[in-house]
Amino acid sequence: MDKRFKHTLVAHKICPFSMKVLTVMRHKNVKFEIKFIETHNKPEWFIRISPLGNVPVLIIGEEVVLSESAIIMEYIDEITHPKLMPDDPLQKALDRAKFEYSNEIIRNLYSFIFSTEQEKFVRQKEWLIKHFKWIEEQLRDKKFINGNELSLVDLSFVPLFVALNMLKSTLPCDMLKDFKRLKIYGEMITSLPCSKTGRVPDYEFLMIDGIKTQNTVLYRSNPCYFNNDSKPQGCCFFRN
Amino acid sequence: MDKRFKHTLVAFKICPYCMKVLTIMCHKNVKFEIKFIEMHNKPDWFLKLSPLERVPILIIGEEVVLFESAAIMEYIDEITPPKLMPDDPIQKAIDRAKFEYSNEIIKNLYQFVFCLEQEKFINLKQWLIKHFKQMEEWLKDKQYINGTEISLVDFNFVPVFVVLNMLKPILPCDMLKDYKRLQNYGDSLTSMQCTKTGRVPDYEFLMIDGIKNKNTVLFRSNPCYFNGPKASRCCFFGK
Repeated sequence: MDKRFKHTLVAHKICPFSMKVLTVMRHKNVKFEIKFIETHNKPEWFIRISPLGNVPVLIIGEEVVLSESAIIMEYIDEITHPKLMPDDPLQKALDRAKFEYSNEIIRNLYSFIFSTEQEKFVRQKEWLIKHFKWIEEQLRDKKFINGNELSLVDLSFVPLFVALNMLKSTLPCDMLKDFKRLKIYGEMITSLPCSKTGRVPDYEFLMIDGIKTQNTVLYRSNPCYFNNDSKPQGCCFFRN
Repeated sequence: MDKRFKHTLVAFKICPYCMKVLTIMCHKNVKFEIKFIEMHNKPDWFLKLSPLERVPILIIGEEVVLFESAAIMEYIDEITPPKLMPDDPIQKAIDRAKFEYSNEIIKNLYQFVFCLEQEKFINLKQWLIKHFKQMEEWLKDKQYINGTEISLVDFNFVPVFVVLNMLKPILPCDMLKDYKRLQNYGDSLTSMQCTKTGRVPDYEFLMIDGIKNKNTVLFRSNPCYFNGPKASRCCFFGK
């Protein structure tokens, strides 16, 4: 293969931003190599190429390095037809704003999942519910964010629902229980083949392991769910 | 004017991300209205429009709300040809990554300016110098980031140099003293007409007022600069 066009994705196994990029690359059938790194032990070669030290990073050829998931996703979309981003400048800008919005939701969700302080945990849960409500209202009766067709911005929300599904199977408390449209939307985008292939096979295992070993509020409130195979009927944490 | 195309920018007076958008709108001669709001007292109508409660937001017509400075800047660029963003997908992606990089520099620079803790102040200064060094290397002998012509990515760095210029008379210690290319680059950006018009006239006053009122490390180390006649040597940056 012409080395100038070789794509190498540098990612972290449970990083949701890496997952977004992986999902788009799978959807678009891009050929690429993937290198996983540890966030707490970044190799020298990575620190040299990534000025802000973040994943994901896409190395094109031998020298070009792209960072930021939204940027990499748009680049992949532009080099593989048909494009999933709209052409209209206004619609494009609206979608780009939603990319950042999805980043903020995901950051807060991960912060919530791995929270070790009770008060912060409760505040973050409230913040998340408030924003699920906002997205529910934005969705209206549409199948996807922009109507009947999938667009790039929908793939930006995949890690959100993958993480929520992981929580759902661990704790019988559904954070989306009051948001019917959001649930349907989530089911649809997580049932896309690229959603299934767009993450490492051990994602759920690594997340649950992290929740336990970091002694999170989630784990401390519900140790039974993380340790036994038989799940009790009621959720001891999400009261309402 | 047709209300469907009316542009209203909602901003904070000293917000650097708002400054980026203002600068490009001035450069491109876009007609717009600006509404300033207070950071610590956001009005209800704003909270309803901006899901993450951040500025800048651009209201188009009566209903469409754009947020994120990078998204707004690219939108403005696209509706006012000739475009300042490149067409090539790789170059576009590289430039967009620099938009984000500039956000990180600006965030750290503001944290440094308004820092209350000595140790954090020093760490931030070192972080900034490290990244100024990186930028100096990127610039090489180019007049602008992408060569001899200005592109949209250059506008992202305007607030960095506006702040550094504001700091210069306060402290005769120039954070860019070892970076000649970066100094020249900063001078060419800040001498553009749109850079001068792309911020509120009281920007420097409000920033300096904030530095004093918050009892920042900058103020505590150099009260003479904020209150009295200017001393000839910088009492903080030792060397």
